[in-house]
Amino acid sequence: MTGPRWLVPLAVAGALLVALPLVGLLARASWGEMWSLITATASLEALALSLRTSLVATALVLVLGVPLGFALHALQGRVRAVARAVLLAPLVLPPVVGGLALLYAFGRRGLLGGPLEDAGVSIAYTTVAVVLAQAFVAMPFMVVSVESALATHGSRREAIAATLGASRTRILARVTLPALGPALATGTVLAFARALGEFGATLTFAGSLAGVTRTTPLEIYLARETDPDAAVALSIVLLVVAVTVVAVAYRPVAGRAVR
Amino acid sequence: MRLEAQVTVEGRDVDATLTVGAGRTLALLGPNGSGKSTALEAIAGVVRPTRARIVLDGRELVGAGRPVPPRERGIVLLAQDDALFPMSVLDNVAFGPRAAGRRDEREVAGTWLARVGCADLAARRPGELSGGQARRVAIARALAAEPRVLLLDEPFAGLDVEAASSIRTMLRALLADVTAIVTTHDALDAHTLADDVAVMDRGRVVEAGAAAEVLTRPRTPFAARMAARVLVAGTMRGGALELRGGARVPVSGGPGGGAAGAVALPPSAVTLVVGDAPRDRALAWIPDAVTALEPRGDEVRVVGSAVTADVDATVAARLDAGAAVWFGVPRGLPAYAL
Repeated sequence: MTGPRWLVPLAVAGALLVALPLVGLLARASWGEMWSLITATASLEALALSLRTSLVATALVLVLGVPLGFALHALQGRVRAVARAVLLAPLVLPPVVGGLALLYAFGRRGLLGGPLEDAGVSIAYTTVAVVLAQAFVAMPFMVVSVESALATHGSRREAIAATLGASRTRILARVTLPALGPALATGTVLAFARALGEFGATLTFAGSLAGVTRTTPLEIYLARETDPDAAVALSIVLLVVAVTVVAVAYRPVAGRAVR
Repeated sequence: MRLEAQVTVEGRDVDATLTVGAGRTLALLGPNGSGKSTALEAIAGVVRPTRARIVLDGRELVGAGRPVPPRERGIVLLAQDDALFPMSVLDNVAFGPRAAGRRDEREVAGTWLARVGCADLAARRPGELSGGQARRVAIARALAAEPRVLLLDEPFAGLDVEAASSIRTMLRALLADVTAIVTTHDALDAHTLADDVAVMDRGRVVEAGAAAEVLTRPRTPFAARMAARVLVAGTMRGGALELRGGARVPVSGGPGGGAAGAVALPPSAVTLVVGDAPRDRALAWIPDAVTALEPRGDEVRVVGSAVTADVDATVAARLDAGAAVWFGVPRGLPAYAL
């Protein structure tokens, strides 16, 4: 569908708002030194940590977020609305608030962190804390994807599969999950991108310890005063990864046939 | 495997009792919306019945205690929409055997695909099949699960005439030894596939019995319509049926004088005349008024209050609802008690 003409200037303004900063970043880059900036020890350390933690966080989101999406779908009426609002809170919460919340749950004197600390396990300001922070902010993407896909998918094929003698586990693995494939891919990609870019919750809950909790966004934030060229180089790496991942794997779920 | 099922689904106003003998095929005959599909889905456990009692070979699957879950019933539903899974055709057909823990599931699936004439489609995905192919694959998948009872919901719906006719022939052979229920709104399916027929109207079974009996000697105008017959009913008096309007139709046999009796015949065997009382003594003439005209291809079904006739469109073109007509019915048709 084509809209009225007066949408065009507004769309152009919107595009500029999004694209101009990206162009500005690219214009500021010192392309000649790009490679040496990225391969500097601090940069490589941050990138490697980011990649590791984001992958683990994404796996965690898959393992926990898919069942969570199913559970949310199984709920009814008002209970579901409340549960959804709580589960999606990290999506709209300022990340620093999320970090603070994580601290009071898993920190040294937190709800769960206190007893854990007594047992000799400490989470805050470790790499585990980075993963938890990333999973916390990325989880809603998976939950939303799975829940909305289940809502449009229905349960007819599952019922037929049951008459053919299949167990619930087999039906989940062979009928439901394959049908949810596009939704799972979308959820995974968005969760990974969100985990990779996590900053506020990580800084609050995990700190900024080089090699342990200083992920790329934190490294960029630190370097922007002392070594702006390195900050821009790392930013471009994240930019390229984000755009590539979304372009390759993200497709809107609606309008795609389940067959 | 003898199946006795009584299912009530209150939300859809279905309350049906069905019985199928071991190895027999029951046609559940009724118009769209009469609750046939709901009855099948409730028996298979795809929809949850409000109340049900399902007994398979003397074993109560659903009844007083905890119902046996659908996957342990051995009752497979072939749904109208095929409901193929997002996997290859071969994997679809192997689904049942694999769930049963068989190791030779791919060979079993291959055999069934060959039996339904789809061996060459094994590697295809469901989206790459025509309607007829998808139906054949769904039939193979259902039979490969070795159902104790197979429920087929309108197996020819949504297919073009050619595909429907070849699948009808195929199913007749495949269902020979299978205990099955087939829902249909077409008397032809009931004739070709079924040993027994149950007629369903607004969620209730209104007539049931051997196919030959129900289809050729229907007991209600509704069952007669579903069997594509006209039911001429009246009271036996001196070797003839006396209709409510007073017209007499000489018949052969039938119950004794004063008893309710009927003859049934196809609407195409009824003659229609407009105007003065016809003289032709070979037919028994019944005066009637047109209540409805239903176009059916080349012909028009002229429905009266007592009799119905299929006539050429050129004849029907001169008729309106309310028009006075004469329906001619052959003399000496075999009558039966109602």
